[in-house]
Amino acid sequence: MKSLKSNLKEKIYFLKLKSGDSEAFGFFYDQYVGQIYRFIMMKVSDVQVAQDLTQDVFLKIWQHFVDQKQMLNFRAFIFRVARNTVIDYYRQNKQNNVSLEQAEETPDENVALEKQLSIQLETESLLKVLETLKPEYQEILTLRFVEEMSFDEMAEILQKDKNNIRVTLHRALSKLKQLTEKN
Amino acid sequence: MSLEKQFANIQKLDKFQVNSDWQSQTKHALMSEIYSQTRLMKAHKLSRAEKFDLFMLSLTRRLMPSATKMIAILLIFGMGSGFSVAAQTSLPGQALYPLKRSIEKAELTLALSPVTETKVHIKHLNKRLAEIDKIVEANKVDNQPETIAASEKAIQKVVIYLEKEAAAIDQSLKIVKAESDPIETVSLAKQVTELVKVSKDKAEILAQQIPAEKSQVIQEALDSVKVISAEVSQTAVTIAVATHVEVAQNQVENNPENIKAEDVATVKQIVTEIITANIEDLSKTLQASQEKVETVTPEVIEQAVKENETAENNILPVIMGEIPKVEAQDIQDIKVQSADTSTSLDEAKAFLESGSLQDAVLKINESQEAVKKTEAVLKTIDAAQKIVDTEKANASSSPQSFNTAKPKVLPVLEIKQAMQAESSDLLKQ
Repeated sequence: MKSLKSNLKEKIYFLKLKSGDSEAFGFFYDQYVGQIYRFIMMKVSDVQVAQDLTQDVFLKIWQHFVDQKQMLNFRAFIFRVARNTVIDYYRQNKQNNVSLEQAEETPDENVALEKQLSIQLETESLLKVLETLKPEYQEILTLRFVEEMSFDEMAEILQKDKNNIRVTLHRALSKLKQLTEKN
Repeated sequence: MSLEKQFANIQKLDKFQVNSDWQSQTKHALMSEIYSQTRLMKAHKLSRAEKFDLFMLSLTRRLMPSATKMIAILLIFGMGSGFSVAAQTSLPGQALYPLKRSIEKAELTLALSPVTETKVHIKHLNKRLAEIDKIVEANKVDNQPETIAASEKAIQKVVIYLEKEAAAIDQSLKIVKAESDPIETVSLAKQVTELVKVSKDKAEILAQQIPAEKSQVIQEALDSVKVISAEVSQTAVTIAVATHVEVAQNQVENNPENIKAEDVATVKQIVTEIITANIEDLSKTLQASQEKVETVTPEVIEQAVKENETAENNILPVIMGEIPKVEAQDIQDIKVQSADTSTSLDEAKAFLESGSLQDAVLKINESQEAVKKTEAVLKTIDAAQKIVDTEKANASSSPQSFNTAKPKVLPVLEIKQAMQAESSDLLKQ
């Protein structure tokens, strides 16, 4: 949870950024670069690609301000931009990479993974289990538990209704628990 | 371990940590990219609710105690100590300079409103100018290569800090416009235009005092000061005029009872003063360049065209838009161009007299661009003049036997007379 003061500071910088303050942009870069890199890295698993896409995200954010478009919640917005950037990346590299859609759970791998999980369920293992889930579930679990986002923010990022998010999250958690408990 | 805890641990996994070198390099690259864009970007107009929010949030935050503020207070109160007094007169590269910068940062932390913040930046910009003055003075007295190298390094640093202060003034003026009352905004804009005029004049005087061949770096630094000053002045004028337009429109369209007629008149008066000062300043610059233009001989123009074709200098400032690109045609048309600028400036005066401030500013901006171009052309011509002079001096001082190819060698006096005759012919034309 962010402190009241850091929240306040972020709001001030957000308004400054809206008035075209480049220093405020520097503030947001420092605040979010780690989170955005992690979010993208979890999706692309390649340092170079994650770095390039992270840089793209920040350029897009700046361009958004240059174009004087509206934005209500910076955090939700930057994650939405990051998500769309990754989707665009997969679309452009369809032939060479495994796409998000293709990265569905595969039963054979699950068996092996489940065996591995039965020995130890540590963070790395959880990550591997997470990777076997549908991209939709992976995304929703990451946003909720790794990035600690509210339902409002998730609804804005994923462009879905809050109730829909709740239901999907519930299903994702059940699926994850099912996979982990089996072991 | 609970599932939540394991999820939280994902954050800490090494492979998801961003590389700090990459992080700072990318930040630097992004900031330089957007910094160049910022100057072109007009401030996004905040809505009334946002303005109120910004004010309240700034107030709440400023009233909160913090470690930075405590340090700032300590530094400010410590300013009376011997060290701090000595730091105030220090220059980049000297041991106490970091202390001076820290005190300045502390002053900024304690600035309680955007208006005060802008004033603090103005004060700091003044300090940078004083530093440039000091460095150039020291450079004039001491001719040791080490001293020159140190001054060059110091002046480059000061110019970087000066540019930052100028950018900060730009930004804070925009915030002042969004948050503060119109009279305060235009008064501050006036203060800024006056200050940058001083800075531009100072850079010009210092540039004349230092011979170009003595230190190219210092000359370039002084040129940068002029460019920065002109940019800040342009933003301040634009903000002042925009404030006036907004106030006038609000009075007519929305709620005349909320805006007093005297306030609108005061804003208009201040903006008119800013524009008048701007026109006067530009007239002086134009006059000086016209005087130079009148003395240019066709021979020098020809040489300048030749030099311009082969010149590779100053490509970067041209690309960055700091100085305009000089074409052969510009050199040949220098006299016509200078006369045109004079006409646009007259038009600006006429618009100002008729009360059309926006049109006056448009004409001023047009003239400013033209003056910039004339100055760039004059620089090329100056260089060509030097070549022509040197060639002539060589021709006159070399013994006859070494100059058999040349049909006739004129003594210096004769050359001068010939040049004067040529100039007076041109004047008559």
